[in-house]
Amino acid sequence: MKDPVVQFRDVNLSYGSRMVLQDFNIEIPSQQVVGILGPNGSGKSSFFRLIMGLNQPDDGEIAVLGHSPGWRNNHQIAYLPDRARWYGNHTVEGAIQWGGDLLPGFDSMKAKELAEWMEIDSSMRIDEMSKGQEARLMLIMCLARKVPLIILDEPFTGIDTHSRERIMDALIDYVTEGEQTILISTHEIYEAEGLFDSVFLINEGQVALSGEAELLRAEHGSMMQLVKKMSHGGRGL
Amino acid sequence: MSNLGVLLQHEWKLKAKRREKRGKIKMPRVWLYVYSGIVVALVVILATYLGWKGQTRFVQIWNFNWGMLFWAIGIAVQNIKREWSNETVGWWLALPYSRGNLISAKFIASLLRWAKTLALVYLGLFAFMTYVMLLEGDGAKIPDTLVTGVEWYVIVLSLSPFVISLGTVSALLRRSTLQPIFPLIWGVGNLIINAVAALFLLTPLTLGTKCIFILISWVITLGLLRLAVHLLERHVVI
Repeated sequence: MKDPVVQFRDVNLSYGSRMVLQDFNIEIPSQQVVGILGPNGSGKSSFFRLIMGLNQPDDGEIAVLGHSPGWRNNHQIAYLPDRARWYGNHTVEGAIQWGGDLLPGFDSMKAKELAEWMEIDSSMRIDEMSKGQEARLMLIMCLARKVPLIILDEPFTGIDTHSRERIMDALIDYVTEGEQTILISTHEIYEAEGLFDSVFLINEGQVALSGEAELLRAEHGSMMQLVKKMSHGGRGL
Repeated sequence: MSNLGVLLQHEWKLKAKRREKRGKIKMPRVWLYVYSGIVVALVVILATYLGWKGQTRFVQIWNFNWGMLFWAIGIAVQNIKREWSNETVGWWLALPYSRGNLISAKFIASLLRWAKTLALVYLGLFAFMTYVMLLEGDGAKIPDTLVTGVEWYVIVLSLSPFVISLGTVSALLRRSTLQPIFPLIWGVGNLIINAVAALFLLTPLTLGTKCIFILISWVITLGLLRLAVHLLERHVVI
């Protein structure tokens, strides 16, 4: 078995008096599309921020692609942050130029192809885009990178059905050709669950359930039902 | 181009203003021109009145530099705050570059932007004073005033690294686990700025003394920038 891409051992994270992750243990397998699911406030985004080294744990051990998290490691990771926006003064072309200048492994040609395929006009300014168009651009900024790990934190939140379909199509197309590990957290579970090879369900700062997506579905029904059960106190898990 | 160069270019191109929220109605550009025109007209009327009245002494006018130092803090704070208010902080901090490079790029961009703003303010002031002096028939004073103004520009610009680094640290502290020490740093920092401004504006210092104060401020600047890097590495929360 290949080394896990992300490994957390007994990690604790708190913001002030609020415990976010508690004795958090996880091993993410490589070259898979992994769903990180769970109700709001369960700790999914905090988990991603720890992988990126954006926040620091209170204690515990974290290894990402064999290294400690931090800026030195981030050239290997494409990260779409939760509730993010793109720089309003950029055009799509400017954003791609920015990616080429600043993001290691960024393939500008691929970004242009993806923009065309996702129906985004390259001369359009970001602050004149709809939220769905902006979400598509941000996804392009991640998918156009040749890196071993891609993290997409809520890539479908607040966007229209058309954009969601476009993003989903891009992901399906992308995951079939790539060798990367892709972590996706989403509340649009019904539409996205077909993408996942394996799933980790997080609740109240701990991994409540994990396994291969198909096995979990066979055992518990749909992922949606699982997360719903979790939101109601984990009854029936 | 080096990483720092590319980061600096990115910071320089960013808009200083906060991104417009969706649904918010923008002030039509024509109205901005109308209001700007009214302000310029009022300034011209004031300058004409002063020139017509005569005997205008531009002595205490340089005290406006006191306020300039606080304006510089605002520019630095805004430069950091913008990442959070525009919701780009995740992209910024995920960049695979040293926190020192990220902070240096913001610091240099703030300093350059500030040098430009300050130069425009001074040019406006020169135009105002020159107009008044010409109306008064006192054109011979213009070169002296120009030299005094350039001296003040250099002094304020030399003190600006300290002020901008203080603004940078303050903005980061407010978004970090060390937030409780923000009032302390902010209070002490403002006290120092007021003391330095009073010293430079109200007391006759020799050039040597001024240079010593400026050098000390640069040493403190380096310490503050190091603190900013430490905050980004260990304490900032997003």
